[in-house]
Amino acid sequence: MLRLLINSVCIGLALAIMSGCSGLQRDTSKAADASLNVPPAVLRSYQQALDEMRNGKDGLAIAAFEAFIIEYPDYSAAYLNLAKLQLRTDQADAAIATLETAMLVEPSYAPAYNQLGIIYREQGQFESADTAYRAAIAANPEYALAYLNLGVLNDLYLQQPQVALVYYQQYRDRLPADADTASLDRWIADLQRRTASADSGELKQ
Amino acid sequence: MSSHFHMPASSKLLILLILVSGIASAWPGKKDPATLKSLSGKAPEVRIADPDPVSTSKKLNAYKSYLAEGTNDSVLRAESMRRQADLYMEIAEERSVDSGGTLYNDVDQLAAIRIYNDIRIQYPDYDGMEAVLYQLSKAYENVGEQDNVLITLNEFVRRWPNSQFIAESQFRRGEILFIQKNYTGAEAAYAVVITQGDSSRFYEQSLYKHGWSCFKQGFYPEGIESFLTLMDRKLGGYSEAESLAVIENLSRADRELFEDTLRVMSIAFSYEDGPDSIRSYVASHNSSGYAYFLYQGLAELYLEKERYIDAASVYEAFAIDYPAHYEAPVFQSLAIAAYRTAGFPSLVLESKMAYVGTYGLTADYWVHWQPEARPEVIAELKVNLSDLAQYQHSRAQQGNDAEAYVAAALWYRTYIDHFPDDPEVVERIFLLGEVLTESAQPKAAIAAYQAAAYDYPGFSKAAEAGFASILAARMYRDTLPVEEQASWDEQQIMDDLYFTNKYPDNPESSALLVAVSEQLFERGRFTAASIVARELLSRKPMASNEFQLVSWRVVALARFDQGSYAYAEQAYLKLASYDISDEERLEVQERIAASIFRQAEAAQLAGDVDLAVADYLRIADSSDIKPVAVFDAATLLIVSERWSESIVILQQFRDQYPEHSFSNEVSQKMAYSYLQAGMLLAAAAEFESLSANADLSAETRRESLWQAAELYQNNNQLSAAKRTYRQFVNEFPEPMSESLEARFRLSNIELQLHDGAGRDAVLREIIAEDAAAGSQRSDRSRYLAAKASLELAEPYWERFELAKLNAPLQVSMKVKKARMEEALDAYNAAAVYGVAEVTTVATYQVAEIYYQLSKDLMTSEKPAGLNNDELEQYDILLEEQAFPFEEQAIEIYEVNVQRAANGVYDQAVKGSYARLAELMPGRYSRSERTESYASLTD
Repeated sequence: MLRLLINSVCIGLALAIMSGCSGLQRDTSKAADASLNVPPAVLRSYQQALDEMRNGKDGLAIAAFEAFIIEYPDYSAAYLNLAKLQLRTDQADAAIATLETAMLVEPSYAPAYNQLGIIYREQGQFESADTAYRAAIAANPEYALAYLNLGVLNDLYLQQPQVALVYYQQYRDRLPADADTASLDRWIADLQRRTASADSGELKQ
Repeated sequence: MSSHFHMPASSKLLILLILVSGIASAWPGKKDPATLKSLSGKAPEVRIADPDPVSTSKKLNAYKSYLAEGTNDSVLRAESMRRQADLYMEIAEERSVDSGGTLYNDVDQLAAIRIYNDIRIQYPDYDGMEAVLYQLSKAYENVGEQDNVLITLNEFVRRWPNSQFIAESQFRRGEILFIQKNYTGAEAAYAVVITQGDSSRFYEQSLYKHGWSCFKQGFYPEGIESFLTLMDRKLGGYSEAESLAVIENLSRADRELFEDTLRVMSIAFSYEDGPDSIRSYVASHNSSGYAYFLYQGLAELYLEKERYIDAASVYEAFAIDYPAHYEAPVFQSLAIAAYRTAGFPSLVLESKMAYVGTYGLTADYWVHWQPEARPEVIAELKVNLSDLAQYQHSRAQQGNDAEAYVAAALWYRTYIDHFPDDPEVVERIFLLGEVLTESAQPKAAIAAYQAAAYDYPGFSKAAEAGFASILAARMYRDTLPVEEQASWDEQQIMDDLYFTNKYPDNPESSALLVAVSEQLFERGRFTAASIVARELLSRKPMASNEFQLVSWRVVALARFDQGSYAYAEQAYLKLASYDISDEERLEVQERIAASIFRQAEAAQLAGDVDLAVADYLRIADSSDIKPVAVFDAATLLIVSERWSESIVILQQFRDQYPEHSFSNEVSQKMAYSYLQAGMLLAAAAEFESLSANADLSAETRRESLWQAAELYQNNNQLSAAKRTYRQFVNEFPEPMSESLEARFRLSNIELQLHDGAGRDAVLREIIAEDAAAGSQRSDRSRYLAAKASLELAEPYWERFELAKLNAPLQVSMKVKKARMEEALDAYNAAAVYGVAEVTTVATYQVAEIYYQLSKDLMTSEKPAGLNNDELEQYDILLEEQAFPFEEQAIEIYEVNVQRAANGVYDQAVKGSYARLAELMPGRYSRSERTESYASLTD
């Protein structure tokens, strides 16, 4: 319960920041600036951890990212990777905590909210998932995956096809022009059809 | 009486002095130088020879010569003779003065006598005969011829009663007659002098001697009158104080005359009516300045004669007649002394009462006199007040005389009121307290005693008075109505304590302290009781053992009742060190134990577990309370989650008190301790043991058995768990909900034991139990029944899954369908409970049955001998057969996933999503996306 509350606070905080209503003191551009000007030593350390992750050496990768975070606590990407590794090793609660820390480190880091939404959906906490995805969008309105995942959530689980349709379309709007959208287009068509039939059904009624 | 009286020598001397002084001055007249020339042509006159510048002897010789010349003029001759005689007397007197000798047988005096007598004989008609006789009487007197003096004076007073020398002459006569004891003649002579008036210098002396003359004759009233007239002259008109001063300044002679007069008057009064006479005589005289002396003189006379009563009456008469007289109280005191000497105590008492009445500080006497100026009167007043009080007090004590007690109290009070600052007043206050106590006036006595005890530092009996006040207070209490006694007791306690504080060394102090502490304790004032008792115990030297013992009892009880258990314990230990009875010792030991027990409780309340447990356990084993203490120690350890220690203590309890009524509770606590200590099997055994204890309630036994079963189960003691759950179900079918739970757990145990039949039997019991529950049916019972149904359905699924579709298909399909129906029925039976968790599984399983059938049809054994076309046709036919089952499966899976929108998202729902993604990938194979990993440069 406490954790949910914290989540809500964190996510709410992010929403507030993104909407420009908050006077949060943290310099949200810091992470972006840092990523552009990452010191070589940091990059090397991060890369080593990432290599372990890519190589499927989850235990080593977790240790490496934890060590990295201790040394360089301001890089939110490291938190995200650590959370993914924790999920892969069935540590969902630890992953949630890691993501919450990432949000505090960099409130505008949308992938963290997105990853949190996925975890909540898998746990059947659909409303929390919805909130997390929308927080990701608030953090970064151009973060496309959050639109997709909102679409899936509303499509399959909340069973709100009209809502899902909007998100799928917004996701599509944010894809590069050269992206493969075949499956997505089919989903959109499916939903358009279903919503149309539903509408007609309602009309018939 | 008169025969014993003689004129005092002092009086003779006085007369002599008067007479001597009168020689030169008794015959006043015009001064005429005694010369021969002066005789010529002049009538002879009586005169005294004045000092003449011409020597006396020359003048004498001149007269001798003149007479020798033989003149015949009788007048001149008589005159010359008289002058010649006068000069002889003068010469004799001068010589006497010069030589200091007497004139007795003096030749010149004798010559003068001879010449004066010659004149009487030769010139009887001589005009100067008055002077001749006067001188002659003097000359006789000078030579000591008293008879001739008297004869001469007799003639003189007869022939010249109106002479200017009549007073002197009569006085001199009186004196001679008085000496000759011719008191009648003397009285008459003196009376003449008196009648001459008070201008005479012989007047006062004549009064005196007239009084004496009368006295000698027994004419007391006349004598007294003369004396009083004399007193009037001497002291009349003076105030008391002035008269005293006058008397003080009298010459010795006058002083003696005064005293002598008083003396004779006193005698006269005594012959008359004593003080009554004084009273009557003085009334007619100006006696205020000397009456005191009259009374005093008479009283002293009586005293000399040992007439004490009379003396006292005189003193009292004066005190009555002159109450404001300065010396009145002294006279009253003398009256008292006289009565005392006379041996009349009753009169002494009356006189003392009169004294107190007349000279008490409120009496009129003090309007006239300042008490400071009369210290002796004040002192006497104190003595008399004290005597009266003590007399009445003594009388009252002897006869228990109420009236005497009242009187004694009155006198003591009067003393106290009169002399509040007197050093002796405290003694009177104390005695007043005694009187009031003895006369049953305890309340008033308290005030008196307390004043004596506390208001007069240094009073030797202060402590005695203080304790007397305590006793009086108790006496008074007994007179009070019951409803007033309590409040009185409060005051009394304060008074008692004040006494003990004021007089700690008083022998009664310790006993009083003990009594007060006991009283306070009885009133529930434990703090005060304890303080008082401690006060006694702290005193040096120590109080008696008995008092110490009582005090320790109070201290111990008070502290115990106050909740000061540590101190109470110490007090009881102290008490135990005394020589007390075996019975009390046992009680004390129990109190010690109780004190320790309370300390343990207090420590427990304060959160000091170690101390509490230590206290509980240090209670003596012999104490009745020890088992409870051990039990509470164990309980506290349990509450404090100190399990290993609680187990030890509980075991100790069991060992020491195997038959104790707490045994069952000990077992319960032991079980709980084992449980919490992680000694689960030991706990289970304890619980199982408890469940078999018929002394315990059914509820306790039921709970214990459940605990035992649960512990066995959780610790993989499956057989024991199965045994105990089964026992639970059998022994405690009610409430149904719990027996259903037990069966549910039993079913799981059977599963673990791989006892399928047994498990199925239990599951069926659950279903039956729920079905028959009636009003006891609940969500839980439905859930368990639903779960049981689901469990029971699983073998049907397995049977269905195992049924292979072999050729010929019609045959195997029939079997498969039959098993399908069984399985569907079983899952539908589970689903109908409407338990979401079961329903999703049942739904999923039903969908799985259809999906499995569709898959089994597609993979069923093909009939032998079919060619390729036939096989293709056969496959199409199979697809047509299988497809509806797949469609049905999809619909059922979708039923499940639709539950997700309502928040139902369990494994069965998730499985349904997975199946749908597999069967309808275009629709359901839509998954979220996220980054594979995040890089720092994204």
